[in-house]
Amino acid sequence: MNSLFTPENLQFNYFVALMMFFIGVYTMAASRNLIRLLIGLEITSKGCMLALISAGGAAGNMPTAQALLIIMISVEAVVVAVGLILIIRAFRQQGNIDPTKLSGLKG
Amino acid sequence: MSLHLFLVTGMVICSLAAVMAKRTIHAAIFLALLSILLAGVMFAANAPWAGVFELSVCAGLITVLFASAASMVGRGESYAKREAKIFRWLPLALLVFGIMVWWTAGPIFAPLFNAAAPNAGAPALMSVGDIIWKLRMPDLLGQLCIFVAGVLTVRTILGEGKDE
Repeated sequence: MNSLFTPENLQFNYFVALMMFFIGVYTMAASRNLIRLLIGLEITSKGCMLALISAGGAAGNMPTAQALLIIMISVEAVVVAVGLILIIRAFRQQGNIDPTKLSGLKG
Repeated sequence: MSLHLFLVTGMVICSLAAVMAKRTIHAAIFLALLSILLAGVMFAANAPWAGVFELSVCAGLITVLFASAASMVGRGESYAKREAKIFRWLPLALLVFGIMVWWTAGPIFAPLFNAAAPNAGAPALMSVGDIIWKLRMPDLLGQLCIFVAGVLTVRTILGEGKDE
């Protein structure tokens, strides 16, 4: 058994994954910079990846965990690309990247 | 200090540094470091395919995207002071959250960690390629749809910019 998946290390992995999830959610909730908000999303997804790889190793099914991780990484790249394009577009139109000031579509 | 502890603790430190960095370009660099550490965890966990993807896509491509966006919206970084005020409390909030989780969730989930999985450590029956192509085909098709939707969105948005 890989030493990474001893009960103590697994517990620590899940703990760190939760901490990273908290950091990401805090950033998404508190930041008024859209790029930083996307960085928060990235950190949240990295926490999920750590939990997923730990769960895959603990269950002895690493190939399935790897397949899910590969799909997750590629979807994440698309999400970030589209998000950044939208942010750049908003910046060109409105002149700022503060989500509270982007009121062009307000009814 | 074991390699595992170094990698996993480094991930939390890099996450904190990424969200607390004053300049967005520095945040992107710390995010790349975080991806490199996560790729290290994947390699250590015998998941080389996922590690290679993490290194090339997250540490490479996504960092370049963030750096380009940060340079394009350089003037939009006038929120630095307000951001610094908000994120000054993040380490304290993280400490409180960590203590709460360690003392509450730890004992609840301890049986899960201690119970050895029946096939833990056994050699895998199928390769990653087989799983992706045979078992996860709907996921693959969905991924393809997301790619196409992403490309069309980027093309449409950039096209609108050219017209104006």
